[in-house]
Amino acid sequence: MEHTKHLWRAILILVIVVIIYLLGRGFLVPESFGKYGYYRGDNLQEQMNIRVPRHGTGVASCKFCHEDKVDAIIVTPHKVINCETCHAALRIHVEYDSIENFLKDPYSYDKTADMPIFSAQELCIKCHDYQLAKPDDYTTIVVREHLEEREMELGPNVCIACHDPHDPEM
Amino acid sequence: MGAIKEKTVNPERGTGVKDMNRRGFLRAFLGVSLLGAMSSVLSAVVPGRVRRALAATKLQPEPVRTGYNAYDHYYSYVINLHKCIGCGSCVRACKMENEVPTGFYRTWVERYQKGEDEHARIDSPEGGLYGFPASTAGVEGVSKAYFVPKMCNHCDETPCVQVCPFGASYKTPDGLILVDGKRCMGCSYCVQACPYASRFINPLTHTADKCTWCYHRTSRGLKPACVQACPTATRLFGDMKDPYDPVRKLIEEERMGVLQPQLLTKPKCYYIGLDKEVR
Repeated sequence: MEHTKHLWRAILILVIVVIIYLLGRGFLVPESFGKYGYYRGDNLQEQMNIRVPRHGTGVASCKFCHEDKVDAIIVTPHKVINCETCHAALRIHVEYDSIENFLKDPYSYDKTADMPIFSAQELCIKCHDYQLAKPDDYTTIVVREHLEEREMELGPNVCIACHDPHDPEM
Repeated sequence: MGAIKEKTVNPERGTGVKDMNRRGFLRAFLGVSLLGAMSSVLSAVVPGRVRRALAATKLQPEPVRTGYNAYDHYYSYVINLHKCIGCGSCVRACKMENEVPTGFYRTWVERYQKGEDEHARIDSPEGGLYGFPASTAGVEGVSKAYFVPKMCNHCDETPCVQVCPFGASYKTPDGLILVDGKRCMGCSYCVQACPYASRFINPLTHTADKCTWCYHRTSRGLKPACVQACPTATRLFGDMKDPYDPVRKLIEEERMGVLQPQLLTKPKCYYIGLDKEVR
């Protein structure tokens, strides 16, 4: 084959392109990529630390300071509800830097804000209003009938006029 | 016709394959192999050194979470549809825990009402965030109705991880499907690929977002926010590698269904009491 000088030039350019690609790839692909799989391995730790857990561990977290409330509710049908479900997330009330530190020594943390108390009737109705879709073994009332029988109007805080959320059974 | 130009062949370096002599061949061969060796060494060594030099100038170290080995756990989720009351506590807890933007849901509750129509009427007012209104008008002769909470199923053979062009979506050693916010480009291929419609593009970060089973809680031994918020024990979370886990026992002994089994995605959210109407 004669006249192959141009081929060598083309091959040289190709080799330079390959070198640039390999160098670029070495810089651009993160180091931890491929550590556990086809993804950036560092992200696993990042996701674990993405935010401080706002909710606590349920009733056990509240019991540290509010043992009287927990003891009252634990013998009622409302014992199955987590305190944070009707109130707010724990971190609004006690701002801890990490949940592990809080659980190790909860008494070293002070209250940072009042825990919201939602006394509106919507909170009760969301769960206890009758619907066909709700299971049969769950306590529901037809709100309109329930109030008519007691000659009450549907208005703000009408449920807690008679029911204590921490001891709801009459 | 002009005279054919005589090509003078330099005996030192033969050009052209036909008249290449041994010396020319060795020069070419060594040249190319030297180039190859240099380039591979350079691309392996230089970026590492540059990166380490840059890292030394960083002010804060990366946070490291010690004491948790992702290979020791493999999580699963159980939803007992016989118990869901549609209160929406899970949706509210998830929003609070994960700062989910308004109008988007990492988990949501659907209500199915089967009447005389061929298919059930499905509604999900704001994902069930504020519970469900008493009934939807226009559903005649409802014979059965129930609530179905849904979220990312963290499938074992995900369509979403498969299609991600950037390696942003991945499966952790403990079975969760997560999205690397730094690598995600927001192309939303995964959003299209998910058959359970559990993914969305976060309007604030412009990356794909979805339920993460509260990895920042589960990696610390806590339960996801939705599981903890549920008042009727509809939602259960378990570790399949823990021999004493009651949820693992439940999965092994009870009859479970999964959403859209024909797609063979092997979801890890198991439903007790799943109806054929559920899509």
